[in-house]
Amino acid sequence: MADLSKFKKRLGAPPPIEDTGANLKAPEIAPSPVVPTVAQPKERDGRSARRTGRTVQFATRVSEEFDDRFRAVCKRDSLLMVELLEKALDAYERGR
Amino acid sequence: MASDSETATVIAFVSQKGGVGKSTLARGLAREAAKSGLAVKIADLDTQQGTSVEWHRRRLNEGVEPVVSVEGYKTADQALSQAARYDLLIIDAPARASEGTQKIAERAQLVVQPTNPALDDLGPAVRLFHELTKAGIPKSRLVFALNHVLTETEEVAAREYLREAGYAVLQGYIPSKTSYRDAQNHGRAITETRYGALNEKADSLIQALINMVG
Repeated sequence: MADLSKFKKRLGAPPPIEDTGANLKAPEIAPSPVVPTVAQPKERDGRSARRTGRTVQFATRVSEEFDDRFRAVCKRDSLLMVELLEKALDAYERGR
Repeated sequence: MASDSETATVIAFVSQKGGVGKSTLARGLAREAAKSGLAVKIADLDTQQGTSVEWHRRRLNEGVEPVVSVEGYKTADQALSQAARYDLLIIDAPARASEGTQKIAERAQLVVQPTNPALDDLGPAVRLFHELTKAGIPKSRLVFALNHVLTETEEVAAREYLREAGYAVLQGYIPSKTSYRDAQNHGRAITETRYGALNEKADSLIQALINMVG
């Protein structure tokens, strides 16, 4: 019978002994993955936003007249409420 | 029962990759040892997954005899310190080589690395044994076991590859069969399936493993 062994499916050469990693030097207890921490805003009270650190929740109660007046100025000058608040605070600080 | 840690036999199942059959073979060996009346313990070192610990729970729930003792350990030292209490301590190592793997290999009479017959698994498997060899573990204590084999051709090719790398490969192999999975899903070992031929196949591989222990 013909010898066809050379056609046998082969997987190629295995890695040589020099081809090793450093797995046995790795610590036995795998270190926890380093999770980048987001800078947390200073906690002022229980309502301080902590999700992204970029903004915080700011809420207060005002009279209906103030609310109407405030929103009307925002609409007229195309300002966000926060922008008008910041300008108002700046103006207050300057005139103090 | 063994009287000191030097006389207790330690057989370890290690790998660099997961899902290659460490727990499957560890449990098969443990079941055969327990059935023979040996004081045997599986030390499950993969506390994150606890594969063998979970299997043990299923075995107890299903009331499968003999009861096989399984316990989780965080480190190789903790597990090895238990060796003196048993005739046979079986280490089911985590799917990640580390300093712990070397400690285990230094103590174990036999280090078995199961592997699937695909190159994706064979390459890393050979590299791990290369590392252990370089660390001073004699090749006579390192052996591969072929698992999840689909065809005879695949088995032959994988065996040839591993031998060419310079390592022993256990006679026989574990074929890829749903019945092995089913058995283990119900707390049974690979020698406890519903099919005699599959049980014999697993049993002969385990016997080949036992024969390797010097």
